[in-house]
Amino acid sequence: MKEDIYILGIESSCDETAAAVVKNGREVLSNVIASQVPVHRKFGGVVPEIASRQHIQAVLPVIRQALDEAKVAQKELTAVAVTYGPGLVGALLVGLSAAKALAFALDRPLIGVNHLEGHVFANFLAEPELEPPFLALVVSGGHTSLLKVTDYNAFSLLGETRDDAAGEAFDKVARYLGLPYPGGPEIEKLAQKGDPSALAFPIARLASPYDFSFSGLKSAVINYVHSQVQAGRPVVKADVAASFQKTIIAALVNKTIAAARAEGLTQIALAGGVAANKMLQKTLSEAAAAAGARLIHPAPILCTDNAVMIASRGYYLYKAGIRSPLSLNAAPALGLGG
Amino acid sequence: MWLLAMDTAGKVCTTALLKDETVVAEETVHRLLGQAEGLLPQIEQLLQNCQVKKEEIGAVAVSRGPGSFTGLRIGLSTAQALAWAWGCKLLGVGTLEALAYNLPVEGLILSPLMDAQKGNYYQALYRFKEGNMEEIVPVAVVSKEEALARAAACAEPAYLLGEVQKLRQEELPAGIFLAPPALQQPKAVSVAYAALALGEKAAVDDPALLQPCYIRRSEAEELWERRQGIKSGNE
Repeated sequence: MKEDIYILGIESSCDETAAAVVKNGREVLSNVIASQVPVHRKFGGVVPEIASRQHIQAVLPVIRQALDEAKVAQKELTAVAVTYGPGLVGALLVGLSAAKALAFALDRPLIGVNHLEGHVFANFLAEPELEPPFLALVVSGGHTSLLKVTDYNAFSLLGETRDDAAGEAFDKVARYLGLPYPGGPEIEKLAQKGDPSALAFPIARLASPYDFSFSGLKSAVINYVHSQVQAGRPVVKADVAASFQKTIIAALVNKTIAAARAEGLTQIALAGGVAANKMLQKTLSEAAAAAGARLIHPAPILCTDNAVMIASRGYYLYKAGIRSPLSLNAAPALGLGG
Repeated sequence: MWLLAMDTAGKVCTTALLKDETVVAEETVHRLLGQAEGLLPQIEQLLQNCQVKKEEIGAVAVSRGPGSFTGLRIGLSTAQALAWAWGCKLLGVGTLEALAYNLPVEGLILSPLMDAQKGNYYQALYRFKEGNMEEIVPVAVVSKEEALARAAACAEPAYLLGEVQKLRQEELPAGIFLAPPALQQPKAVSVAYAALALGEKAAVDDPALLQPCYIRRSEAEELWERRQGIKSGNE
């Protein structure tokens, strides 16, 4: 019988301080998240220095709670996995410094994890039977990428956004409509009360089949609202939200299905903060079924930033013998599929 | 008892090991590539060089500011996690007070300065007397001119320590001197001696309670309060 592997995951790339213990890559023993969302709300977005200050207050308590809830002692940990990018550099460094110190102090391997790969790996926790190959659509406030996952440690980037990330477009439109931060869930809520076919917004057509562009859509929405206000005409915010959401989801779904067909993949995994959007889940799930594929998506708690996904990703890196040096630095602009 | 001390508040990454108040090793490196990369390997090397086992470390001492916000968090996050993992004591000392220990000589005014951005400094004034470091003027964010005026207001000769590399001796008023270059930068040994002098006052019951001493708030908060028309001032 092989020994069980306990990975401590640590995540501090943006506005959540998180720690988790995962057993053998797929069994969640604890998932602790200290969210800073209320702290940043009055600023209308994440303020990097404030995020870093929140992280240093939360990092050790969150790690301790993760071990306590998992009933795993420091000495029982097999390795420490930590997000080293992409994200806010000052925020990343808090979790990374704690992780490096723990790995060193406890004589355990340090495993640096790419946050975006972590999001993809949240799907292994959603569905214990999931095995590569599959197609992953990573949609968050910072990224929109189509990734072919051929094996646990082999990814290729099929396409990504040329400008705004999908989540960024959601947040910017929400801000323009006067909705509170974070805007994505607010748009989704408002869209339920609106008519998605009330307004026709354009979506960019790109030569590259799997790349995305959302800045034109965002500008079209903002221009529409602006011109209505200028002309003294009413703005039905719910219709704007519903029409915008429908357009952006259509772009995401069409390219994802096209990529799945072209690559012959019958499993599609959704990942990242925007993966929690119910309308995106529903539309993509239906389109996948029509194309002979199935959609897997994490539970909402594993869509937002968390450390379970970091621990799970860390497990597969650990199994592959991948270790990071104690000199590991934060990589704020780390990409996918590199 | 072995004491591990570190300071990442400024432009150097400095670490030291002491055994029962005696310095065994100190390493201070200008970290062009950043303290995030350098701190842990430096600690690892220090223990190896001194052949000290991790479980022999009885206390970790760290400089908690003011200084570079990111640098302070690297130091504190590291020190907190080490102390927690080893179950040892965690001692926090002010960066300026630690700097004063670079020159613990009687009859002088010690004026540590750390860069507070936009031409300002964090400054406090100290006097070393009968083996004790006395704070005579508490920390404040001041302009270069104010810093020099505060130092010059004292009768004794004043020595400037810390991030004084932009200052020139010939520009300084009479009675104010730059500390010798070897004594200017933060030194982990001084962090250790400041911590030992403070004793239980430097210790925290829970390592998570030791937080950076920023002095200044984030710019976003200052801006927000100005916009709200709230008078700023209290932390």
